Amino acid sequence: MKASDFDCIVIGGGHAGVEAAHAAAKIGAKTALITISKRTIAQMSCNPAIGGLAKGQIVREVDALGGLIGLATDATGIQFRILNRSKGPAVQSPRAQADRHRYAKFMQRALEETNNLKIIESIATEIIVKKNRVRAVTCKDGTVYNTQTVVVTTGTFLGGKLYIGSECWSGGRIDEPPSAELSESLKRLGMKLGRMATDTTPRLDAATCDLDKLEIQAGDKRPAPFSFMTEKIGRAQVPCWITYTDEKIHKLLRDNLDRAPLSSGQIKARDPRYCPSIESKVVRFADKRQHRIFLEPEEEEIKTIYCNGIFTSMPKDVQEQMLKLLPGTENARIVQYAYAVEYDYCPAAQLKSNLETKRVSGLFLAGQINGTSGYEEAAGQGIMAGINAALKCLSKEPIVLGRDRAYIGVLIDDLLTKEIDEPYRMFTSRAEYRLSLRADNADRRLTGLGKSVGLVDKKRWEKFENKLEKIDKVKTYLKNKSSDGVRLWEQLRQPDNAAAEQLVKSVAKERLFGNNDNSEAIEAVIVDAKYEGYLAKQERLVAGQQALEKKRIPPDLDYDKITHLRAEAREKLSAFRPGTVGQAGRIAGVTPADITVIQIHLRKYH
Amino acid sequence: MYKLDDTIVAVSSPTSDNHVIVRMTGPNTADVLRRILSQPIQKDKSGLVHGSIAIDGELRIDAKVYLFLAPHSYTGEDVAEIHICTNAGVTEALMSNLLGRALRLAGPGEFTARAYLNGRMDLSQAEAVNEIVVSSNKFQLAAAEKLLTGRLAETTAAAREQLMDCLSLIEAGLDFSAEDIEFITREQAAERLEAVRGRLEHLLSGSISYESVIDLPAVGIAGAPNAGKSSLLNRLLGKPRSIVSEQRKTTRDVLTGLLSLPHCRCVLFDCAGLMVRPNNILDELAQQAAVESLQKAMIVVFGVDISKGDLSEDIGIHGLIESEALVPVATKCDLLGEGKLAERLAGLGDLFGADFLATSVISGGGLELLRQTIDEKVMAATSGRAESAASRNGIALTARHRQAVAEAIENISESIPLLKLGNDEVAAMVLRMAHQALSDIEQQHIDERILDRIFSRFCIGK
Repeated sequence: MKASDFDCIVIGGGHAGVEAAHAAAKIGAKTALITISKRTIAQMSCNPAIGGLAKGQIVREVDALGGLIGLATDATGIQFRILNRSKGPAVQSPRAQADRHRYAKFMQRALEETNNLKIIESIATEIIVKKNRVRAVTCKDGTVYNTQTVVVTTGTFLGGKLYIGSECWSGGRIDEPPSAELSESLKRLGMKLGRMATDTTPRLDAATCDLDKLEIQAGDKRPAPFSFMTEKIGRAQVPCWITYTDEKIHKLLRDNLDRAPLSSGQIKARDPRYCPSIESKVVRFADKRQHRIFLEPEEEEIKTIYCNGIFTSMPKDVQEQMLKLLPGTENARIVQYAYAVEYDYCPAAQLKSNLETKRVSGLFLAGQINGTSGYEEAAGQGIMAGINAALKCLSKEPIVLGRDRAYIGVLIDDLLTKEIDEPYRMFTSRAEYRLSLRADNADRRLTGLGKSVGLVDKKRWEKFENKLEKIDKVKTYLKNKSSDGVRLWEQLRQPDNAAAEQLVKSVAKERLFGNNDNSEAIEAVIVDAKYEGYLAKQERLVAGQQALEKKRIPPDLDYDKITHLRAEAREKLSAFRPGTVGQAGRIAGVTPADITVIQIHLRKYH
Repeated sequence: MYKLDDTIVAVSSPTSDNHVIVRMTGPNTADVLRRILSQPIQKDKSGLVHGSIAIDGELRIDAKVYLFLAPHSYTGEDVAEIHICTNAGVTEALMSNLLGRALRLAGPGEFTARAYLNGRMDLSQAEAVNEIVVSSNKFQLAAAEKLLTGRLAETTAAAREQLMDCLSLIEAGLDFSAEDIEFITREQAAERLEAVRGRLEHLLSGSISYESVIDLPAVGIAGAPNAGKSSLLNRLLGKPRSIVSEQRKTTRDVLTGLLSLPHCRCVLFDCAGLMVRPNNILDELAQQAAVESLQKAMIVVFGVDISKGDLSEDIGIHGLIESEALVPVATKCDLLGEGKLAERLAGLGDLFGADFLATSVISGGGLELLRQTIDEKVMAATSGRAESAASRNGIALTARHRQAVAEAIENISESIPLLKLGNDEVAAMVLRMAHQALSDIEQQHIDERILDRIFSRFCIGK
């Protein structure tokens, strides 16, 4: 038998693929990334922005684990903002516009510099499986690469179809061919596929836009980096511009609804609720007289503009008329028309918690193929799939992040237990442990884990330990130091602690660090204090859940044999095959009584 | 823990009744029925199966049988109800016949537990069944029925919906702050939450404690030492409950028993001899127990030994009893002749300012009248309580429900100032707790302990 060419092959160089390939290689698996072209690795095919509410937390988590997305954003970001600044720290999230060309280049270079990783420019057409185990990947030119594991991160390329109005052609992204063969290969392996759709916005020639007359949205004065390793953001910061649709545009869209494939029914998949097209917004929020549109530069030198808010599948002439009516873009030249894309996805109930398919050992799926949207969601799955593929090659136990540990854990668990028929986007409200899953403590939550699998290098670890020491120092100080007879720590714990915060910031800085900038540690402690009391409450909210998460359900459990299950529950449980009793309880259509029945059954027979 | 895959059986009619109902449920129900029934199972127009059933090898007896097939039954499994007119001995023989056919004797509440686990009822309905089973009078029954018809769940579900609406708008404000939509202002949210809280407070304040309605009314028997209280209790209950002796102060503990009366049931208890001057520590402890239990009593039967001459002790004890509903009883009336008895009764009446009921545990005289008197007084007292709640259109809440509603109110109250301070994410978490507390009433999240607690209170046969 021929020795394996690779331990792990990642198919697809998008935001999931990049993290997967990097993680697998760095952990020690001999890895290959198969991509159509090196130049399209880490393309921002949608909005040139990273982070945002809940997504910013995911980026910080990927960074803490030792991933690339945070570093790439910091190195190429052209506008940084903390969102929800007026709200509590648990729901504040970093967001940045990136220079999309430099972002992709950064990633390409990072992968080239990764040991153990080979980039192969080709199109994967078949995954070869023997005895339910991955053996090899065949490429379009006929080359066969043997491998132990495969991570499929093909985004919108599987069976991809693009639409601009009634124009429709096969493609994975604009100007790129789809991957029809791989879809067929997955089907032959017994994977069930569904269809999903999403849409993009028009891109404009910045020089032809009249931006000066528009409202400016500037970035933060002191940009906060994503990565724990970034000291300072170096790149010049640019603004975004804000404009608004009006009744004329709304009428235009309403009059042409039958020409938009997402509205007309030409695309069978549903209009994505979390990335709604402008035409569906006009229909759904009929009483709203205007919708806000962000004109976002796509590069530092501002050559093209991304019209965030005009997601559409309308035909070209409607797009042109709409932009003519929109203040600031009246004379704009369209560089790329908005298009909708429809693609195959694999309902993730077919996966285990380590993102490996239940059916084929060694086959992992990550990113949009699992029904998600967003670079961040893709990166989060990508790094976990890469880690677990590598761990499998090394015959080590997989790593599964709990819902209490990371948004990535919430994301994967949701994919495994929810019926998802439109692109899944992360929200903070999806996390029942929201108060502990914060952007500010992602490093403390996950750096240790990143180190244990070998993704966190010495430099990061030392810096991390240093931060922990400082945090300890600040905590001890605040717990012992009083002002007006009340310990500072106690003052910070009060719901209305603004004054105490100010006091602590100045006092701690001066007393402990001699005015050196250690605001990061001080701020972390302030947040810890603020939430300390509420975390105990949060625990009660989810009490009992932890025990259920630990109760495993055998993968071959025959739900038809549990006669007392209601038909609906039996059907749902057979479809999802949850790994634990906790997961079973989160499946829609499974009641607490059903859970009791399962537990009785498990106690008796297993 | 409940087994679910076998067939269970129980006598589900009161033991004293001649109309015996035997219920079974589980996969072998129809099969077992076929084997013991004289003819093939055939339902008449009203759904009844007629025939005779085999009690044991020799004996057959006419029966009416209801057969409900899964899932259209109480438990969601096949259920059979065998109705026969017979006595305890025959019932026992039938049961041992059935148990010999690999049926298992049902545990307390197991029929209803199966109904719940098979999705036939929600938890608050299951609890209501329990309360009906143990309910002691018609007012309790009404309170339990209100639960069963889902009125509580309806009220809390409405509050829960409003809470969810408000919570989702607050959550939307956290997750969609980039949209130029104001989902709800903090003032609006606070106003809405106050409305929900008001609704829940109304529910709570208009409610009466379920326990106060359904806990059996307590009827105490008090009197001087050796006044014959224990004998009286035993005769009323129809069984030897406490050691009765000629020696004074025999009863040191509070003794209780369940008394079934025409309109209600109550707990009858006999106190340690109340005494005016306790002699030792044991006396004192007994005294203390007696006084405490008397305070809980709805009605106090005050017994005086009519045969004795010195009543100074009785007068002292009468002074210790503070009860609005006092039933004065003269005991040991068989010891006196008719003329003497009338004279003494009149004397007691003058002395204590109330008419005494003449009784004798030896002849049984006056006991029936005493039972009637207790029945009337208990009904008068409980109807007052229940009606005052009913007049406020209140609902009876069990301790679990009250706690859940109170927790929701507390959490909503905590969330309002948090919202005003801009701590929306913390407010949202606290509101989730409020929502969960209300959901628990309708079983949205239930752990096994709650189930065990509920179903273990059931009696067998339900």
